[in-house]
Amino acid sequence: MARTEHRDADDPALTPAESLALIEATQHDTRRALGFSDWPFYLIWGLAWAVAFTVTHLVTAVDSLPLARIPEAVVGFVWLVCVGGAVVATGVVIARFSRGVAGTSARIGKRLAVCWSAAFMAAGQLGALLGLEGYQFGALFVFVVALLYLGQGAAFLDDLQLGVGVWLLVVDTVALALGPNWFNLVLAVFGAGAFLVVAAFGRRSEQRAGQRAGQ
Amino acid sequence: MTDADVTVPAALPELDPVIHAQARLRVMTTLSTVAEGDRLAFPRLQELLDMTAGNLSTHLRKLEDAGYVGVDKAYRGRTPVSWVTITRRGRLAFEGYHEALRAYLGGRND
Repeated sequence: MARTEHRDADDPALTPAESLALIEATQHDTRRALGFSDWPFYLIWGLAWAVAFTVTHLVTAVDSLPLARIPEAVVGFVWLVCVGGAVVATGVVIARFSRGVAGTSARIGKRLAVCWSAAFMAAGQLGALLGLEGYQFGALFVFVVALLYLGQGAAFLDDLQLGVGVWLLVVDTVALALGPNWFNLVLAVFGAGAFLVVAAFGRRSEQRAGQRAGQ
Repeated sequence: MTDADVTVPAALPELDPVIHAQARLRVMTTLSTVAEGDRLAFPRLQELLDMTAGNLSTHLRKLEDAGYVGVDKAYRGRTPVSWVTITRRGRLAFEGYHEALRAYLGGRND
């Protein structure tokens, strides 16, 4: 293939095909390095929800008989570790990807962090004021997560986040309707499960994009 | 040989010589992939491209002279930081370059 006119003696000339391949490979590398894919966040929160809701289901009485005898304090500790660990892991991933980047996305990120924190604090206060039971508290928090996903999906024209928001609303409503015996299991399977499925597809599609870009 | 057997090669496009150099093409691709309104710190750009500071500076100067990138110097505490961003003109030039390549390669029969 013809090589085009090139004026840098220290930089090898490229054919148009080589240039296009270089663009695609560089775009892929940049997207991966700057964290344009959000599957790690779905993986982190999918694992956290799966463990926490499953453990809570095990201590929930089904026909007056819990599946496992685990002290309440241990269940609370599991939630603390899962949610706290997921928050820290999310922060680490964001910090790792966003270092050395400033501008619009950093400002958006800070505002989103404020929105999520404010929404959860308000939900906690609201749940306490309404005197909600444990699983109803859980339903309120999942409802808040769903609304935040819907808002982000609408603002960023992101169909995936919009879909996750709608799915969580449906799962949350069904789980709440089934009552305390099944609420945690439904969330563990269909809430956490959805996050893990999205993470798996996201990772797979990133790997395919890498192969197409010649990685 | 019939007319149908004759393949007419697409004309080689006029490619922007400022962008059409391997190192500068990588710089422009990286900066154009960053979200609009964002900028990269010089060391981060250097790390992404795996280039030496001197080499990257040389290519950035050529791109800056063409009006394709902007370099702003600022201080973080007492540490000087250079922030690199693609300009609107640079983004348009890169998009034109990319489109020309795709059109040329899409139109080729070999």
